[in-house]
Amino acid sequence: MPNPCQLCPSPHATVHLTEFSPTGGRLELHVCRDCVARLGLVLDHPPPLASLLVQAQALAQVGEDLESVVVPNAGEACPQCGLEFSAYVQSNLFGCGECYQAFAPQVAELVQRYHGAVRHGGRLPAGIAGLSSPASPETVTPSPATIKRRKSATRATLTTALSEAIAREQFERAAALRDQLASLDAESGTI
Amino acid sequence: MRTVADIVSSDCSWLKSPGAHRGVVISSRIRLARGWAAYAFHRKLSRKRQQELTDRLMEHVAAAMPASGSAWQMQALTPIERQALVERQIISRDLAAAKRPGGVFIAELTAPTGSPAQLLAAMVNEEDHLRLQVIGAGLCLPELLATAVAIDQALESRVEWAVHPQLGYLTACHTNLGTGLRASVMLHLPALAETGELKAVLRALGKLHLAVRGGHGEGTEPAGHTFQISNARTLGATENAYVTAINAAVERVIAAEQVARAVLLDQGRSRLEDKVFRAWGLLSQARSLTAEELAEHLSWLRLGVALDVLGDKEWVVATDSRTASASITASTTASTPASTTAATHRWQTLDRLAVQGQPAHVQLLNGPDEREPADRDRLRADLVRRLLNN
Ligand SMILES: [Zn+2]
Ligand SMILES: [Zn+2]
Repeated sequence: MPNPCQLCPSPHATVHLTEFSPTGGRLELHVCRDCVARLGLVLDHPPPLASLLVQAQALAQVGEDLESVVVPNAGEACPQCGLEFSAYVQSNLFGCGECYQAFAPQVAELVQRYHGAVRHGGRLPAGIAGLSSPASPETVTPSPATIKRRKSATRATLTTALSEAIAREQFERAAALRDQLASLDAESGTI
Repeated sequence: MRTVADIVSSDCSWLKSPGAHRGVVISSRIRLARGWAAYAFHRKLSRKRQQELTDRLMEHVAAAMPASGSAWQMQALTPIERQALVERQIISRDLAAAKRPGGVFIAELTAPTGSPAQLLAAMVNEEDHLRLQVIGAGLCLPELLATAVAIDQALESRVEWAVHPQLGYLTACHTNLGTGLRASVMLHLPALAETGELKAVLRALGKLHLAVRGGHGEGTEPAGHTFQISNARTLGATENAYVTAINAAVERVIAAEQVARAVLLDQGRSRLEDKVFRAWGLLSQARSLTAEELAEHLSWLRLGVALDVLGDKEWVVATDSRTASASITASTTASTPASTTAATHRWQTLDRLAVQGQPAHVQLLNGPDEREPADRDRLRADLVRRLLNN
């Protein structure tokens, strides 16, 4: 069964975003095609999920709480189809598309080892392709200026979300947001 | 709607196209793997849902294809019919052996003059929900990719494919992730095999992350010196980049094969001629032929045609009623339209022998009854004699 979109009432999320925070928590966000378009999501370089949620809430007034996307680590089995990673190792057949989220760290390693890359460089379906990657890999990489602009926008939404979280005494959420901000600042230092 | 028996007895019309590098390249193929976001992969999908997926996807495939064609549910096909479709490389061994619901769609796309005709084939509920294939004669990967992408674009407005922003198209196995693209080229490399250089050439391809298999898919010994070269990696680069890389590698292999052929001709023309004419003699006279014998001798005959060793030999092509009586004599001037047509017909006859001489084809061409191997060998020899003589 497909995941419902977490940003609108659509039952079909096709884009699955995962983030690992340095504290070991995991953020997951399932988004439908319409929301990808609505939010102008650049899939090759998605903004931190926390800021995305805040942005989505502001745009659509959908009362989605961040807690619902801070899922506990799935552990051994895919929450969607129940496949255990050990079963994949034996057969090289995943149970569903969601397995790629459930086993994201293992997948990253497998994919890097086999393909020598971790990022898809080819086509995507039209609605998604138009927003993410043009055909050639050269044009995919945004300019440093674009990255900087994107980051400062992200920082602004994150800061707002953080103060909101603290005001509502949502401390888990606040911690996650702080992690996001910290990693954003760490990244900025490298540019 | 045609039956599998119709398909088996018909010529592969797409093979009538001349195709580039026909002397070395038998065919090119593009495959795209896609999963439907609304369904789990087959190992976690109930039989009922697999049937539902098959029914729905078969309908979408038929509607999205640029040509009308034939479609079958796998359950409706006998084991021998499934085997015949494997021999035509329309379906995989896996799908043929699977007990679960599934489907196959075949159509032929007649391309404008100058570009090759293409075979369109779709496997539904194979390892992935959809395996879309476009096949053409000779070296023609970019043209095939264009067709495959156009069909995929028609499909994506009907079906929501499972995609991931970083990983691209999601497939059941991580080795197909990203583009889901497998571009492959089937090559005939008898001279490289004969001069012993083949191993070095194949090793070099491995370093380029290209996979090399015997001509008939995974796990089979190459019969008749045919090899299939394909991309191993599917994630990271664009579809065009994978196709360009394979094209470049294949062109180098073609050049190496042609050098090896020139060396063979130069150093041992009479020995080569002897091999080719022995193959011709055996195939045109034998009363019993195993599939392996046919593949082995056909390989020499193919080399003989490529090098024009059989030059003035009369070659009657019995492809259909119109051309059955046309006796074609090869011309030594290579580029006249008549000789081009003659060459195309010769490749067509060789390809037809290679396809129709396979066990399930021989059997289906001679009625629905199960045949003993000895019986099949006799029928195979009859078919070969009929096509090579008149
Ligand atoms: Zn949505
Ligand atoms: Zn799963």
